[in-house]
Amino acid sequence: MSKPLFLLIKKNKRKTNFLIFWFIFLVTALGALIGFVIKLFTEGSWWDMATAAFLAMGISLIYAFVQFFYSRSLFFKPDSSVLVTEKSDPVLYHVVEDMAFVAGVPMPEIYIIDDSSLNAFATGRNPESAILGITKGLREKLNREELEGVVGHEVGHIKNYDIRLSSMAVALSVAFVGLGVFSFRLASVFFDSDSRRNSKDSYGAVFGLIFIAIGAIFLIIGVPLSKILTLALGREREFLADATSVELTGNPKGLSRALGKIELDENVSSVLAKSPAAALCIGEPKRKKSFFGSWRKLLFSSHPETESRVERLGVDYEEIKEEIYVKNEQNSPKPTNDVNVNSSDDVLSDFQRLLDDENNSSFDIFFD
Amino acid sequence: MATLIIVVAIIAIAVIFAVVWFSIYNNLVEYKNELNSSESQIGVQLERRADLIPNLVNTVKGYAAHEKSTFEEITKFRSLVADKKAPLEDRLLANDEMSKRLASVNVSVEAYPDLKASQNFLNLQEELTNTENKIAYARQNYNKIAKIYNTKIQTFPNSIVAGSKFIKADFLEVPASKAEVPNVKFD
Repeated sequence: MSKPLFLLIKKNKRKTNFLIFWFIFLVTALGALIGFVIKLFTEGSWWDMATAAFLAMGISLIYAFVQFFYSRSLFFKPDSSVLVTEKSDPVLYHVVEDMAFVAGVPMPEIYIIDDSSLNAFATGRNPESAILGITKGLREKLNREELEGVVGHEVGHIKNYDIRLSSMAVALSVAFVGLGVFSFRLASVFFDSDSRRNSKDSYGAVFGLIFIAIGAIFLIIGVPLSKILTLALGREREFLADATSVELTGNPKGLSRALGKIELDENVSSVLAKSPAAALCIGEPKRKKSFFGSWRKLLFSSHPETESRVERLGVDYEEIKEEIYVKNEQNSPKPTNDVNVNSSDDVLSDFQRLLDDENNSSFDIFFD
Repeated sequence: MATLIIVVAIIAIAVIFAVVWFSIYNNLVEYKNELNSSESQIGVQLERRADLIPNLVNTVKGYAAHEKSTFEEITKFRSLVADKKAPLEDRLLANDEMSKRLASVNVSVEAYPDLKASQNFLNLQEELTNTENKIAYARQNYNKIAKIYNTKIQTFPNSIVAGSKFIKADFLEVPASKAEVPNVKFD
């Protein structure tokens, strides 16, 4: 560990405050812009613009406030997640209990996500309000030691307040993209009303165009913003959480095998890939292979390569891979065709590593 | 007048000295209490584990009659683990020995599918693994706190306040590796 824990916590809290400030500032500015346009076309007073700005500020404040204290609603949908109790799953419950005890954080709530892919994430504003999400696939395919490794990793994020920063970052960038989409919808409402009334001097079409422009602004700012955020959240944090996990369990092999299994598993994520929680996961949620998918991977990948993560723990990745393959073959005598291996993917990942390395250091200035 | 100043100065120095002394002392007491509580956490888990053993022995006895001597040993170690008056080191040692015997019993009952399917047995297994892990982690936690405590009482000026009232804590020996801890599990 390069930095003492209390400094890390301080840094994470400060970055979260920055994030909230910039979010409110940007939304207010856009509100003012809308107000300005309205003023131009309706020949109203400057008060119209001020009202719009204040309205935008109020809405963004309320949104940030709600997300800060109740971010779980964004990440845990009741129809796809089930609360774990000591009775319903003693093994998992005990593993989490152990890890929380050694790390010295309160016992988090645990939810099983109804997703057959292998993944886990944590969210909350502080260790007291932390929630742990684990996919069904992960719970079923990992043994106790491996589970400990994954839970230790998540507890690492909880302990140093990574969860506060990352949950807020995701919530705010989701809002930005959401506002963009909302503006487009609004635009279509105006176009509709215009065609129905069929009057020459109505502003419907003009407002429609304005809202399309506003929507475009939100998306043009919002989409790269979420890319920057995921990059800023990525890499180093993951390495650090891995290190914390090993410190807690004293067992680098458990986590390494878990990471290997997450990487090599071929189940495509059904719930997490579509959820905002994707950016918080221990491994990149696997999506269906498609042209757009590989571009998305290139643009939004936030996680370091599994191999470099495992090697950093002082474990040989090739050995881990072999262990997992041997075990798989024992379980299913028929070896499955490896459809996932394709060469363009390797090129992509090389390119992406290059991107990541170059960006990682420079993106930090967005916060400091 | 001069004597008054000297008297006041001496009293002030004495008060400052006393305040510093007692605040260090209180701080050390806090650490000591923390150390004691982490020690008692181990004790709690050892008791929980000892309470599980008779139940387990009753459940598997019928399946491993040939392991009679092992069961006797387990019972013997169990009574030491449960003995609150015995030193913690001895109880932990007894627990390690007991775990080894339990592992060998588990190997010999592995051939009974009806036992392995019994919910009661599975619950017992999980509780055994759980207490075993909790003991290991409580031990690790104790050692961590003992290290902080030792540094605290050995560094200046705490060392003067500590004197002979605060004794250096011994580390609890952790088994060579966690892998060596018999894994009481079936899969």
